[in-house]
Amino acid sequence: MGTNDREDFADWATAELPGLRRFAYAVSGDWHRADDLVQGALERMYVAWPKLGGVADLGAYARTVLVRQAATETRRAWWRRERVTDVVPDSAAPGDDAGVAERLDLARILDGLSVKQRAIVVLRFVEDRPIREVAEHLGVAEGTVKRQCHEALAHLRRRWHAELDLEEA
Amino acid sequence: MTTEELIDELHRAAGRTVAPAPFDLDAVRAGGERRLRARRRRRVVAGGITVAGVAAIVAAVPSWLPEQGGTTTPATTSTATQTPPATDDRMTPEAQAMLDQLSPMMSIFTEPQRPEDELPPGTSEHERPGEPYGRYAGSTSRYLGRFDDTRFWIVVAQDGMGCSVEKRDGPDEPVTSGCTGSSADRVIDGMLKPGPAASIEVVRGERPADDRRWLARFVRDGHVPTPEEAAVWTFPSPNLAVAWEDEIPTTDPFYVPPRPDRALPDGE
Repeated sequence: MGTNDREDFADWATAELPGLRRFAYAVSGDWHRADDLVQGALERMYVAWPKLGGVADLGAYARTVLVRQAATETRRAWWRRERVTDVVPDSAAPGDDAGVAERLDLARILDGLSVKQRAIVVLRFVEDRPIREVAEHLGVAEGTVKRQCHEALAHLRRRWHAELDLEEA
Repeated sequence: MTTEELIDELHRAAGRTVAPAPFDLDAVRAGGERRLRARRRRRVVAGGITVAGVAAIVAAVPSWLPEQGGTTTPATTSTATQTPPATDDRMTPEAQAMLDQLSPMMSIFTEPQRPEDELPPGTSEHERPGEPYGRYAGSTSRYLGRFDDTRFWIVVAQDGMGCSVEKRDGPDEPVTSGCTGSSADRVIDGMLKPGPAASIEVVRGERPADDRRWLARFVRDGHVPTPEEAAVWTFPSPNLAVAWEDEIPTTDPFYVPPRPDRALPDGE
């Protein structure tokens, strides 16, 4: 990779990083794993960078690579590995003064969904990408995206109500 | 709660989602460079890594040929002391025809030969009984890069065949090769099949230390890998793609299921 390519990559990655990390966190539910996924996806894109000139939406491309990694790692039972961390989990403990809306971040709200469902929800509803684009980037049919969105929203609604019930109790 | 309210909550939650620590982008650059270079460096394994068996690798080659495609010529195992030289600077009409067909797809053939393009010591003529030319046209060899412990070259033979040449690290590791193409028009189908990546599997090999197999294929200039492809395949250079077989999804257009009759023999 030439100097210009390196600089282009660095510029693009710097701009893309906040959104990509948030997406990875939403998909994986863990900041360490999220950053591992971002690192892996960006490294792969770094290697392929000279050949990615024709890619219209590099951010979407990165998310696709990342979701595939996440799905693969889940199949390999990555999550079973014990990880040492010095960061306190950011899920709220019962009894917090803040309401549900203030206690749950993106990953916590998406708890209980599969990797692909999480990715679909974030791409579709948080990043406001059209169904066709989500389907294209994740390599699934548009009908699959619609169905997964419907199921995911139903799950989120149930979860939200459960949190509210817990809060009231 | 309505769908709109739920989506609003998702947006608000996204706003509350902030990474707890900065991200080290330099580590990405370092990791990317490692993937480009050091990642493919041979890991020293107790007992060493032996070659998977040249015959087996060669045997795997016909599996990627189209049914009516060109023929495949078995590669030959070679030793450093083998004579005569495997290369000859003379360009035969057959070799020139092949080169003319490959050059538009791989611009490396139009560029001057570099020192690293020279085929490794131990390269032997490719064996083709009854045919006058078994030597490679020396000026046509081009180094395509390294994957793990193996280096890859592409070269045109004087009989007009296109060949891949592989060499594992280590002075005792033999050079392996596979050639294809009985005629100039067929070899293109065999080596650079039209398709999403305009490429095709070149050869299958393995790292015997852990029985891990790789697939390699040539890639046409200008190929833009899909995200799925980039997630699996490594591109040591623009014209070569290599991947560990166990990382290639069966849905990958270049996935080639192992064929029992082409299986690599154990213990070689």
